[in-house]
Order: sequence, then C-alpha cells, then structure tokens
Amino acid sequence: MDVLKPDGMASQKIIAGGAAVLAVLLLYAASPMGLERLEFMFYDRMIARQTAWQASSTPVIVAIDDYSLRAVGQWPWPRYLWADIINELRRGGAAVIVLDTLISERDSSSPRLITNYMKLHKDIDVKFEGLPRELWDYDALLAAAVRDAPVVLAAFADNESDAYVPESAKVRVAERVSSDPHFARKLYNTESAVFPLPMLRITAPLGVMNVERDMDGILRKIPLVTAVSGKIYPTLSLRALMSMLGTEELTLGVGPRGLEYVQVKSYTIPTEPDGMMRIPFIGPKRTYEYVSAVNVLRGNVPSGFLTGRVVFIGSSAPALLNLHSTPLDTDYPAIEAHATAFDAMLRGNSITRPVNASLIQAAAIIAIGVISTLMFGFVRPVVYLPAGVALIAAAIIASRALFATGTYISPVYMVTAVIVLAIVILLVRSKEEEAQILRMTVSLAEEKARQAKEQAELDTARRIQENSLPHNFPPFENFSSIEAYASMTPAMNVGGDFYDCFPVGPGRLAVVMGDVSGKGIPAAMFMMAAKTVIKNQALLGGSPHGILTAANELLCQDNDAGMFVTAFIGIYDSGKKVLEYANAGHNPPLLMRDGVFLPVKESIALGAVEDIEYETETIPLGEGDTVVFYTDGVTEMMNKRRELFGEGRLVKLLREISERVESGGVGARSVVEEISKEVLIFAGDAAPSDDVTILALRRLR
Amino acid sequence: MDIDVTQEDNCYTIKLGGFFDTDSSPALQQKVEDIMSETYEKKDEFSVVFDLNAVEFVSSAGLRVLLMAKKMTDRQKGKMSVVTDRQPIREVFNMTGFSKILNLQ
Repeated sequence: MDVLKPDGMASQKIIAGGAAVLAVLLLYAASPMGLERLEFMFYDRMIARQTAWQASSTPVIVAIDDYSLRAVGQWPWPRYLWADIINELRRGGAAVIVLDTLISERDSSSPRLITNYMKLHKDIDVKFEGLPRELWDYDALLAAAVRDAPVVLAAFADNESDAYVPESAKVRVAERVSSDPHFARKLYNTESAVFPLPMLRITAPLGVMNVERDMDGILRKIPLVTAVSGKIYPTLSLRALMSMLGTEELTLGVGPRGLEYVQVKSYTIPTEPDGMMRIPFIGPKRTYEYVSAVNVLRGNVPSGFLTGRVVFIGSSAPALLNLHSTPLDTDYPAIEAHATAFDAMLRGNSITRPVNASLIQAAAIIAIGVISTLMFGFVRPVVYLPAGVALIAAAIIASRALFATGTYISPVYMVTAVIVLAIVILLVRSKEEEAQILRMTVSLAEEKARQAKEQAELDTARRIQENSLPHNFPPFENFSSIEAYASMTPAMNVGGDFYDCFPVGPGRLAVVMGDVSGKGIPAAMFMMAAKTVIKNQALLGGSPHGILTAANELLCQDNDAGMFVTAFIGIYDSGKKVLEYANAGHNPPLLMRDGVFLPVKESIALGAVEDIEYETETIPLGEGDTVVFYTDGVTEMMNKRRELFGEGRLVKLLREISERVESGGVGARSVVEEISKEVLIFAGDAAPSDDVTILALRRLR
Repeated sequence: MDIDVTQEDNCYTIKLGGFFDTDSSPALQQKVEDIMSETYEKKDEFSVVFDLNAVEFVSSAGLRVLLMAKKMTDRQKGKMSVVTDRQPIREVFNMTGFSKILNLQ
C-alpha cells in the first residue's frame, strides 16, 4: 500500500483515533435522538427495499370503514350488530375471528339496561312490546355469538390503578431456559389492563391490542407478549395464531438478556429482549384483503370467501382514530398491523437484532476505527478518499445483506465512526502538514538567507578584487615609448586574479600578473596581500627575482590554509629596451612578434614553500613588440563540450592578430579586447568558472 | 569529481577522477581533513597517496588542496605523494613548481 512514513505525528494520530472511537462508542451507548432518527431512516429504507416478503391470503380484514359507519350510523354500534357480524363470519367458515375493539362496558342501549336505568333514575316503567326474548340483552346476545365462534377478544394494557386483572387469561405460559425470576420486568409491562366484559371472556381468549410507537411516532413494533401485573398475555395476533393452531400453550424462551423467542407448537418467533416484535411491513394499507363490515352484515360476502381464513375486525375509518404511521404508510390501520404481524409469524418472517447485537456493533465500531485511523492517518488522499467511501458502502451493503436474512444491525454508528474518524484524523493530519509546510518554509527562508549571505560575500570579494586593480591606463608619465592595457572578466565564483602596472624608478615600469588559488573572501584577501607585498617589494627596487623571493617569504608566514598565488613580474627598462622578468609558477606570457612564449624556468607559486630562489631573465623588446600576460582563466576556459581553450588556440589567435599589427598597427587595448572576445565566444553558453584576465604591454618606439 | 578513499594499515590512497577544480575541491578538502584528524589521534606514521591518473583537469583551487594536505602531513610527520602519468596534469604541476614540493611520481 501507498503508506507514508510514520513520524513524530504518528502517535498523535493514533491517540486522536482512539479518542474518536471512544467518542463514537459513548455516542452509541447514549443513542441521541439525532442519530436515532438516522437509524430509523435506514431501517425504514431497508423495510421498503425488502422484496422477499409476500403477503399470504390467510388474514382478511373486516373493516369498520366510513362506508359502514354511514350505512349503520351511530358508533359504538349496538352489540347485536357485533353478534350478527360474528355469526356471519362463523357461518362463512372463518378459522379465527380477532376483534380489535375493547368491549369492557355494558351496552347501555340494551332494552334491559334502558328499563333498569329508567326505573332507577326516573322511576318510569318502560315496556318493550313485541321484542323477541333474545334481543332483551344485547351483551348476552354477543356473548352467545362469541361462545359459539373462535373469537379472540382485545384487552388494553395500561396503568389505570383501578383496573383489575383476572386470574384466567386462557393462556398457559411455559418458560424455557429462564433463570431470571424477574425477567417479566424486562418485558413490555403494565400494572393493569382494561379487559372485556366477564360474560365475554369466560368463553373467549384474550389478546393485548396495544401497539408501540417509536420516539418519532412511527409504528414499527408490537409487544408480542405483555406482562400485566406480572402475568403474561400474548398480543392479538399471537393469540390468533394459538387459536388457529388449537393450543393454549405458549412457550417463552428466556435468555440472560431477556426474552429471545416465543414458541407456539412448531412456530418459533424471535423477539427483542423486551418481548417486542418488529413488524415486517410489506406495503401500505390494503396490502391485505379488506371487506367492509356492512357487507358482512348484509351477507354480501361470496360464499367460501371466508373459509379457513383468519379474520381481523377493526376500524379503518379515520374518525375512529386508530390509524398509525408505519415505515410504508402514514395512516395504516392498527388492525392491519396486527394482521401483518400474524401473517409474518405464520410465514416465519422476522426482523431481529442478534442477542449480542450491541457487542457486534461495538466491535465493528472499534474495527472501523482502527482501519480508519490507519487509512486517514497514513495513506495518501488518492487512496483514502475512495477507500473511505468504500468502507461506508461496505457497512451499508453488509447491513442490507444481513437485513435480507432477517437480521437487523444498523450501519449508522459504523458510518458515523468512519465520518468522525475521517474528520478527526484529517484535522490532525492537516495540522501536521501545516507544520511540515511551515518547517519547509522556514528552511527555505534559511536557505535563501544563506544564499544571500554567500552572494553578499562574493560581492564583497569581487569589489575588493575590482577596486584594487588599476582601470585607467593613461600614457604613463615619462613612458611615452610604451603603452599597456588590461581587462579582467570576473567569474561567478570570483577567482582571485590580479594585475598591476606601476613605475619602479626612472625609466622602469613594472607589470605584475597573479592568480590566487581558491575563491571568495579568503582568495580576495590573499590576493590583496600578495598584490601589496609584491608592489612594496618592487618599489624597494631590485631585480624581479629578488622581488619574488622576498614576497614569497612574506606570504609563507602564517599561511596554514595552503593559499598560494602564481605570479609573474616583468620590468621594462626604457633605457635598455629590455624586459627583465621573473616567474613564480604563472603561465608564461607570450611575445606576439614571434607568437612564442617567453622562456621561463620551472618555478613555484608564492606562498607555497619557504626558501625559494627565483631567477631573472631578460629579453629585448623591439619597436612594436607586444607582450601578452594572462591567467589560466584564458587557457583553461571551457566550453559546453568540456573542451579547453588551450595554449594552442591562444598562440594561433595571437599570430593572426600580429599579422594585422604589421599591416595596420593594433594597439594594446584592441589586442586585449580581441583575445577577451574570442575566449568568451569559445565559452559560448558555458559560465566561466575562473576569472579571465589579460594584460598587453606594447613598445611603441 | 570522483573521490575514492581506500585505507590499508596506515596508508591512505585517494583516487581522484574527472575535473579537479574550484567546485569539486571543497569535497576533497573535507576528505583530507577527515583523514588528518584520524591520523592525528593515532599519532602513528602514515602515508597519503593521491592518485591523479584519472584526473582530466586540475585548477589552482585543486592545487591548493594538495598543498594544504602536504603542509598538514609534514606537520604530523606523515608522507605524501602524488601519482600521475597524464602529461597535461604533469605540466600543470611543473609550471606551478608543485612537482618539486609535492613529491610527484
């Protein structure tokens, strides 16, 4: 992988990563409303995407709808109508009839009750003439219908203190694997419940009609079992299943965390630890078949339509206020929620969080935290950006795949972990990069300052060098017979070349040329010293070799750095018309007349070793003779191909010039300028690495 | 410039190659100073051989480093020699008189 080198900031990133993981874990433990909403969103989307569930045709809904209310009028309906409905359904062959309505009080419209109330409150004897005996008490009529049909009645669990809890619930509860005597407290539980009339419930079983809405008001779960004052009651749909299977036995699978499943015969239904069942909604309302209650009353149901089916009777009319929002609908009748739950149990569909879902979530958060820390902390953006997206996608895809198998593990906290870690680690990282940029900027500034200092030094050295050289060559007083001209082109690095030209006595003119080893300030300083020493010695008088010998002794003193200077000194005697000269390791000058080098003895540069004796030689200078002094900057000038200008080229060039001197006469200045020009042309684009210094001395007459 | 230092007992051989000029001589000077501080601590006799057979060009800055090395070895009672059979290089040594000082072989 494209991993950056861990550095001092690595531990900082890991600490930040660890803290972020901890923060997400705490967030997970606290489950704040904002993230809860996100969880609901994911959950609802997954419910909507689920295609594996298909509604069966077992449940059918008899709806107390607007049409029925208009046709029958008055709500609540008199109990004889309920009795008629139940009788119709029984005759139609319904396997189970579930009543999602609470019948806890006597029907005060019964003739019996009217008679009693009139007598009691108004002291009037009311007579009903022609009233058949069975219509005397509507509740009794309903009780008779309920007794003869496989009806499940609804109870409503609440905490009304005066509600009472009957002993018999027509359910025998067997607990399995229960080691917790107080596990009922972990269930959805109430102190009490509102029960149907005793005359009804002695024959019919009860189911709890409660549904549970989440914090956002959406119906997603029902309490599969409810503990009412410690006694276990099944929900309507579960009780319907029991009735359908002809059993009154309900087995509860209790684990250490609470309820794990309930079992009816061979049907095992997984639950949340608090006994909740997540309803696997398949669609919006009318996913299951609806029959209007009034059509049942009027016998308008096709024969055979109800045979063997489980009928859920409940209200779908908005006026009856029993509608709920579900993940797939905004006004879903509670009765269809019960039907949906029943059908899911029958088909074996469920949505469960694994018992150790919290542990799995926590472990996933930690694992994602570690991966994210490494990824965002140590991998380049080209890798971590797609990888981060992939990690989030993987969490969501894994959650979806699990959901298809009925297991619900929310990806919300895993995605949160990726995002939180990305933010935290990238913040740390950007700080680190800022620091790096700062460090780079600082070192760049230092480098610039160093370069500027170096440049300043070089400039100083160059000024020392240039200022110390004579620039003007007026005709020397008393030296009308001779002219001299010199030029120096300093190199980038400042070499340490120098030249000098001064009278040393009556009719005697000294010409000095030197080249100091090294560069920069030290070379410039040594050059100054050498130039001064040579001039002083020359002014004392004496022969060229004496001047060099004395200068060498002086320059050798305290010269540990190994600095040395090659030097050539010539003294033109205008009386004798000769050039006396001595050499200290310098390039021998050229006599232009013949294009030959002045003969020099092998000699040593000044400043290298003590006790050196130099020698003086003498050549006559004829009229028009020119002597050219130069430094190795000329002969060692290098072009781009690393070729040297060389002595050969110099000799050839001087011969060419001297031909022109003879024909037209060329002054010292133009000789110097021509050589300088040719050398620079030879160098081309290559930067001269050494000073180019040329001096020409010409006898005029 | 190429600088290749080999050591056998107390004999250092410094093989140089290429252009031995202003730009490259500081690197050689550093090498020489390292060897000198090493031999200074040992206080033994030693010898340094500069092999210039592969050198194409020597400037005055290069000569200065050799002269400095010569002065330092003399002070520490070491021996120093310069080896080259390249004629242009020998000429530079001869012209500047360094062939006499530096024990050119």
